[in-house]
Amino acid sequence: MQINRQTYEEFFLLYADGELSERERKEVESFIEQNPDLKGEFNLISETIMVPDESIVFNNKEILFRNEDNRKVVMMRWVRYAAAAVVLIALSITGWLFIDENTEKTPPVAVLEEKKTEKTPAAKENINQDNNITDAGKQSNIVAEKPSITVKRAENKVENKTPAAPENTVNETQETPVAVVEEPEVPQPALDPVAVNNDVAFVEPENAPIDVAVAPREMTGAEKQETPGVHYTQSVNEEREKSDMIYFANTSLTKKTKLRGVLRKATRYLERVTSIQ
Amino acid sequence: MTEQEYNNCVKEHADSVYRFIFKNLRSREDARDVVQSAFEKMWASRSTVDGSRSKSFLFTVAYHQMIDHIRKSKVVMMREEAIQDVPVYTQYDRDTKKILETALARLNETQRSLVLLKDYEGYSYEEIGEITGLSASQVKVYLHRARIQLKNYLVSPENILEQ
Repeated sequence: MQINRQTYEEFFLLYADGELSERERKEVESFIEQNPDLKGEFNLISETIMVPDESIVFNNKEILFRNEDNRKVVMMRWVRYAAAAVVLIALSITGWLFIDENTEKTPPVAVLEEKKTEKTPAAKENINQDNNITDAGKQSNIVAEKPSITVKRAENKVENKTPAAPENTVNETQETPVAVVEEPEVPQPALDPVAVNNDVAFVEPENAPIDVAVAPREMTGAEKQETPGVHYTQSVNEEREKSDMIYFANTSLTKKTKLRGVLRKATRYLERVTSIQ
Repeated sequence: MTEQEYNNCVKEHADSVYRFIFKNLRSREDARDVVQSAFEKMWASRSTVDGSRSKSFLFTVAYHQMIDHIRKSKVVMMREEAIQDVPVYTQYDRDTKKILETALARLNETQRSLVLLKDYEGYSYEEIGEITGLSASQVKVYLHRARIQLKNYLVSPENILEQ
């Protein structure tokens, strides 16, 4: 079709639609030059050509994106690690709280060892002197006296009466003491988790003050990791009094056992959960 | 279509589809909904959609959803406030642009879509026909009619002659 004064509108529209070839466009342009009165019409039709506004955009395209496979796997792994870490931390905190607060309540675990509590004054003294950091002198004195420390245990097989019983069993045992007072002959003293060795000096034969030495805790160190039974045996053997209160020792031992068990269970649970995922 | 291809499609075409729909609906929220829905449909059908056809797929889905939306709402988009939502073009005279926006709003949704698909995206009559469900010749006729209407409104908005 040729552009002329009858067909120009169609051509103008096709021109605006961008449907004309290069050659056809030139024909239209030359036609307009030949018919200038139609130029206005051509311009008007050209003005109907819509121009996109580039400022109009879809914001936050991220809601459209998809990232199913990779993200899921990575997230799963991180979630597992994070969950495990949180649980372990929580348990650790709980465990620490237990150790701090519960220095007298845990019943002795090393029952057997208690029975073995055979002390020799000499040994005691030595141990007292060696282990007692603060009051070596007092210790020896105390050793000579009746035991001031009462150890609370499930069984009261311990011989409380041994005079030279060192209350500083705590020091010897090098463990956190446990407030256990079961010996009938020995009055149950109040528990002082942070008892200083000084208490030993005031020990009365009939009164078994709670000597919760601080030193033993410090010395426990590596021994804490040992099995309760073994350690306790040694300490008990060294001291004469079975009725002595071994706060730190028993507490830590007992506590460690419990805590370890709890941690073990938690770990097993976590492994089970994470392996399922 | 792989996940990668899909995400590329988002980057390349989300704005175009949104612009097209927004010009029709005059509502940013509605336009976003339509675009989001269109991409969701494409994602759901990604196994059958080829990456090279993704753009026309998107426009087709978005267009039909837009039509449904318009017919359901039955709101006449000719309020003055709606026009003010439209950003000002830089190429044209400010007043002319405003008039043009009004003129565009006066078209029905099909005519308006044809003009936008032609001018915004440069689709051929054939391609526009595929998107809108019309034949190529129908597209050409409707499109030309739309342009004449727009032109007449530009000439004298008071004496617009409906065809």
